[in-house]
Amino acid sequence: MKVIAIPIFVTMVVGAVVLVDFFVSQPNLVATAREFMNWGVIISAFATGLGAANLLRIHGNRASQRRANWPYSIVLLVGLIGYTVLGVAARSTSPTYQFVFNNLYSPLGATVFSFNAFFMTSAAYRAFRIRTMHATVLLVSAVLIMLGNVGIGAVISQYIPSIASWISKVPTTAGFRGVTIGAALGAIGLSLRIILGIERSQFGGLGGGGNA
Amino acid sequence: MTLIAGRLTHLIFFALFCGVTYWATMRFRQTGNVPIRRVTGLDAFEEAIGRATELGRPVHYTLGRGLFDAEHGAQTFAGFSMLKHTATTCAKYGCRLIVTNQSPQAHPVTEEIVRAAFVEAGHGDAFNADDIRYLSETQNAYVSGVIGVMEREKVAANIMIGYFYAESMMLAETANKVGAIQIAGTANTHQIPFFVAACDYTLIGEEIFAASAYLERQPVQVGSLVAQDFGKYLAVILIVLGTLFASMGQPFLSNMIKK
Repeated sequence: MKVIAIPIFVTMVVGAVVLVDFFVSQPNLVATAREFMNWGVIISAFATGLGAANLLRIHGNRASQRRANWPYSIVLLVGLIGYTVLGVAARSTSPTYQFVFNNLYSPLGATVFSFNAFFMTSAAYRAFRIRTMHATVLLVSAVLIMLGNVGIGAVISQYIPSIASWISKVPTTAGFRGVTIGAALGAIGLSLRIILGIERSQFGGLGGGGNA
Repeated sequence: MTLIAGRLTHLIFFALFCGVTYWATMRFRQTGNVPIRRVTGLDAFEEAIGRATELGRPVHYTLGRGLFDAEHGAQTFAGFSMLKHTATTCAKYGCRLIVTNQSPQAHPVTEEIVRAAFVEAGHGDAFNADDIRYLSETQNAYVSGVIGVMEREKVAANIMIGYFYAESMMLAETANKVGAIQIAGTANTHQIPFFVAACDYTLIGEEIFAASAYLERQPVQVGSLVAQDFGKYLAVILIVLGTLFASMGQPFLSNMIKK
């Protein structure tokens, strides 16, 4: 058996067992499918270690070779190693660990997330510039939705909140459902190709030249 | 062995899907011609990578969350498929490709895909493992990392295919700020509007799953693409009929589908 065939064979067997388990109830099949899914969780846990190793390798090399922006790599390495050591030595429930998380990590995370307000504004400005019929429809809908969700909308016209509600509930929901149905069909097609060993991109060098 | 209640329609639909895939595959093998709809976003890949090559700047690729679980896994695998195509094109043009990962599970897979693509294209020496980067599993840390990569490397093209949460807007706007041409695709309906607003080309929903089939045009892939379209037409017919029957007080179609 060629090396390339092993991962494809494993994919086909695991995929077929889990697929059949979705349709039929058979105790041995259910147990086997659950076992396969548990293996997936265990294998995924190992990958976290690989991710940390990648960070250490890339930033370790950058710092040791004094490449561009190397001081930032030192900051990352100190944070990564220091916080890991702290977590292992003092446990994640310790006041010191919690202090760093609550007073450094959480505010930084909230700051990055708050960028969204500015990014949304600039993206909306570009998208709403009236150049085409689609952009015009987008602009009109967005203005009605925004006005319908603030007090001034009802002051301008009593119909604006109702129109905004209708846009959200009818055309928007219909569009979302259409996309969801299409995506589900696409996922079925892709999954079928993976189970049959036709789609092999995920195997990289074992894929024998990519997709069959 | 018994059929699980409520799964009969699923089984019938799956069998139909497989049947149409088989029929279309055979037809494509015999005639070499099965009409496939055009997907503009996929045609733009060459343009985006070509532009990056001309500017001498790198291409950035992300899978988004890169999760492997049932709900998001298919989108991650669609991202792998497009990464293979992107890496092959980058290798062919001699363009640098930077992949950033939010998922430690997806990271080794992306590294292997890019390495294999460069080797298969005969440019194995151009592959740089340091350009395949795991940044952080946490959303905000990952976003700040990618923003830094985009600003420092001045990426000329930004390709985002997979499952995205709120990072979609932050990544797309940063790439726009550095002047990158952008192709994005996701099946997460809550993020599609952000991509449509901020990116040059957007692959909506099922288009990301059709990508490899559309680009490779192998018989079984084309067959599954035809089955996707067949499924959509069937869904439209069922929705129209279901609406009509339900409006007439006859919910037998919706009852039948629940079996």
